Amino acid sequence: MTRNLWTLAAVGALVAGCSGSDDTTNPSDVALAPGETTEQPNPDRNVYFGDLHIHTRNSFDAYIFNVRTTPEDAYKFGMGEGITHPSGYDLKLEGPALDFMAVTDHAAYLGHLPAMDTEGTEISKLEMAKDMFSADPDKIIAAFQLIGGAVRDGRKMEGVYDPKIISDVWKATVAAADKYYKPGKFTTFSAYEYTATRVTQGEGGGFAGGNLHRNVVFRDAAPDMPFGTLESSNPEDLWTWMDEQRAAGIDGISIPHNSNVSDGEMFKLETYNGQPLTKAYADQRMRNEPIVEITQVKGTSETHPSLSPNDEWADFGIYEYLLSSQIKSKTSSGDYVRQAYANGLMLEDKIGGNPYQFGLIGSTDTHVAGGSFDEKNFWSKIGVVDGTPESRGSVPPGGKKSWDGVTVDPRAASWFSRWGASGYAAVWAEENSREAIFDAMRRKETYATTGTRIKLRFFGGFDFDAAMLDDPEMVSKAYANGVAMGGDLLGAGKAPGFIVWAMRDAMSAPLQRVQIVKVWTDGGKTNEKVFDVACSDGGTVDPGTARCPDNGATVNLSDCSISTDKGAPELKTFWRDPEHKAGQRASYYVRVLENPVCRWSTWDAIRAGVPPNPALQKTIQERAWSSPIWYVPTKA
Amino acid sequence: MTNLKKILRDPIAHFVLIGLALVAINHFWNRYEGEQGRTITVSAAEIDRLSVLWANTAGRLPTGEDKQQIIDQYVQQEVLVREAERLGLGDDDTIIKRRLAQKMDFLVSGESTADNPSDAELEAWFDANRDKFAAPERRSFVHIYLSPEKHKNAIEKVAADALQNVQSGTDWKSLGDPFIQKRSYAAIPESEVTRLFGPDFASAIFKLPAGQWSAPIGSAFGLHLVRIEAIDDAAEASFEPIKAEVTTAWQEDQSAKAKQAALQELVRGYDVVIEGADE
Repeated sequence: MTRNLWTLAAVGALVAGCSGSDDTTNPSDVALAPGETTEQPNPDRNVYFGDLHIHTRNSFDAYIFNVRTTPEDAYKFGMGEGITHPSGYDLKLEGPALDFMAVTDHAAYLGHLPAMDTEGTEISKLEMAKDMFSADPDKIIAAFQLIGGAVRDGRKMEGVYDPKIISDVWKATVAAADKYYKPGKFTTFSAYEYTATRVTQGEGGGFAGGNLHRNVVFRDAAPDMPFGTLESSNPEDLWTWMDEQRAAGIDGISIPHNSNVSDGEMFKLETYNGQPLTKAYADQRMRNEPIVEITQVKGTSETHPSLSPNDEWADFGIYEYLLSSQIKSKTSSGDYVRQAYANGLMLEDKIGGNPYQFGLIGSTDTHVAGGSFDEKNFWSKIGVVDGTPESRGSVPPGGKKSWDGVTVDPRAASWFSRWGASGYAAVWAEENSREAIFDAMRRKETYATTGTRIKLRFFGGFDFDAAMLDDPEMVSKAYANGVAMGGDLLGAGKAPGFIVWAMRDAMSAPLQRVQIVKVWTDGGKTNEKVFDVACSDGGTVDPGTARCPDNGATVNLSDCSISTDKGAPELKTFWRDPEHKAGQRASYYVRVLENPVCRWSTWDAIRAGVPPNPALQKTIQERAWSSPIWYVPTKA
Repeated sequence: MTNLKKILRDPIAHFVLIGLALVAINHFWNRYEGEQGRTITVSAAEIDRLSVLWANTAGRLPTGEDKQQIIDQYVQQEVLVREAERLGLGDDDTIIKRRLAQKMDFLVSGESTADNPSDAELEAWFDANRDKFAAPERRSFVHIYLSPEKHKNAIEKVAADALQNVQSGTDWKSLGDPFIQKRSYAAIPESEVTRLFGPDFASAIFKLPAGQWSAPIGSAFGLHLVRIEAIDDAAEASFEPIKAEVTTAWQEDQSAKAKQAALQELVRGYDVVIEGADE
């Protein structure tokens, strides 16, 4: 039912697109009068880049890391102003302003630490508060553990938990979002993080268990209080609350993140309480969780080399350990997006509903009120703990100039040094407004990048052909005769055709190749295959291997300069699935790969005049992932 | 003891440990700063405190032998800290210094609060700070894009032909290749053009005159023929429409000034000698 609604919405949108296309071109080509600042809505849609995962001083874990910047500071950062890192240096966006943002502080104990640290408040008089801000590290740890433990267990600590603090700080958060919302220019959303954790039992239990975190983002009106993990650690209860809010006119979506450290919990094949999944579950989940954050500082959740052995690019942003532990994460089930897509198709066959038909975004999860997207300029995310190259393991300790005999702090070795400068949420919307951007997220016309501003369009249709590629009306025709990323293609026989169009980030590297990842079900089995569909430098796809030749682009590790004569500014192609079978459900998403560039750790090392850490990867290929298009077989 | 195990397993504990190491260093630093002597006093109260901590970890009270070990460790730590101080290690530690300075900085900031200004006061301040609210030069332009992937070596010839066509009256919208971004941009500053097209293209089009088609200009994406439609010169702002924005800026300015004054007051208490500076 849900899906049909979105299909209808897409049809509605393309009708609008058609009527506009009677003119020679789309409305975005109409120049504005001088001085006019707001662009007209574009039915062919513009791409906007944002960050929907930002923590400030109001998050308990940011405050203890010495973060003092506020939601207002976060919005200023997003608009291009400088803010201060807790280690004392200035943070500023490398690129230009963001188009949209949401501050997502932990709802659990929201604002409690700042209140404990403010003289005169009731909560500052608690013994726990005195310990938390004492000079005794043991006391600080003990006090902080009480809060950390209560968040983990979803417990309201008597005498500490104060709904008035949460309500006040939440109101201020909403007010900051409203204050900085500049329709047409800069969109902000009221939002928070729902920080639920599944505590696993036995060896390696405790916090290391399943991460069920979500960011809850409201379209416009915001509730009086956030529904956090202290209300319930079961995400299904969150969705029920969101359904109630929606009925009362407060629309929101929840965006899961870091499924890579969920210990198999995020996309598992039963409910929170171990019951079989049903169509009602699938509908409720999709109504509330249309998109998933696939990449951020704490790793990338696309797939794992052990799940996708035939994907040469699977080993990217893998954060091997469960949150803050030495336990390797499970890869067998429930952690990775590609596998969830496959399982979703299976469920659709089995229960008539697909709880995992989500689109994709990226974001940062910064805990210092400003995201570091750029490899050249990375400040990681947890304040004084990883604010210097040395503390994140990219530069040897103690001013040493060599890595000989150096043992890196295990925390840096297992966590901080494996994290990444990532990522962006990209949306295709008619204009830069709350309504347009939120609705784009609802219909999943979104994609994720690892911190680069690759432009990516992806359309599917049964009547597409290669001639469309050079048609100036291609985009409006694609909307009119097919669907964009995030949509469904309902068909009974014909193989779907796809148009992929990617353009490089002017400030990053040229493109190397464009791929389509196909996931499908086949007699109760799930399958996946990566097809290269467009190659740079005049290369052609080998039909046997479905791969482009290597374009030979290189990175000079002494100064991070890159090949200037390799790679493409844009790649555009039409592709029809050569292995299509009419009765098989399938999902198709695009992955765009840039030429390699230096990883942040290499930049850190070069600036410090030391060799890069030999244990770390020296270069990376920045990338973008589109939301999928689903082929849904219908009875002929 | 299960609580303790939980704490040790708990990740936030791990995260915070590193931060706490810094806190600990400061702590010991403060305590021993200025202490010159070579006497280490281990008070009975300190032994008790350490014993309790020890018991928390070990799960039993320390025996006489354990206590000796606790005292030995304490003494060793003291010696190391004092020797480090003697060597001046902390003096060079930028992190410690920065952290202390930052803490102080917050204390100083907390003292400054800005009142509500009168309209006249605000407008006077706005007059004195007009440049802060001025808009940079912005340009509106349309462009014809030519894709290097499509035209390869022939691209310059194709661009020259397109230029001739558009100059002799062909509708610009019918020329060139589809562009994934927009083909017309309204009133955007050079910084924004840099982000969208790269620095070379941005600086080139901000030198063009309005109203005529340019020779081909290169960007990160290929070649473009550009026509500047309008130039909005860098403009002064007027007070009334942006009063709210001015108020916010005024408050920030006041609080920055108050903080600066407090800082100056502290600095006045010191004699600053800069070695090697010209007399």
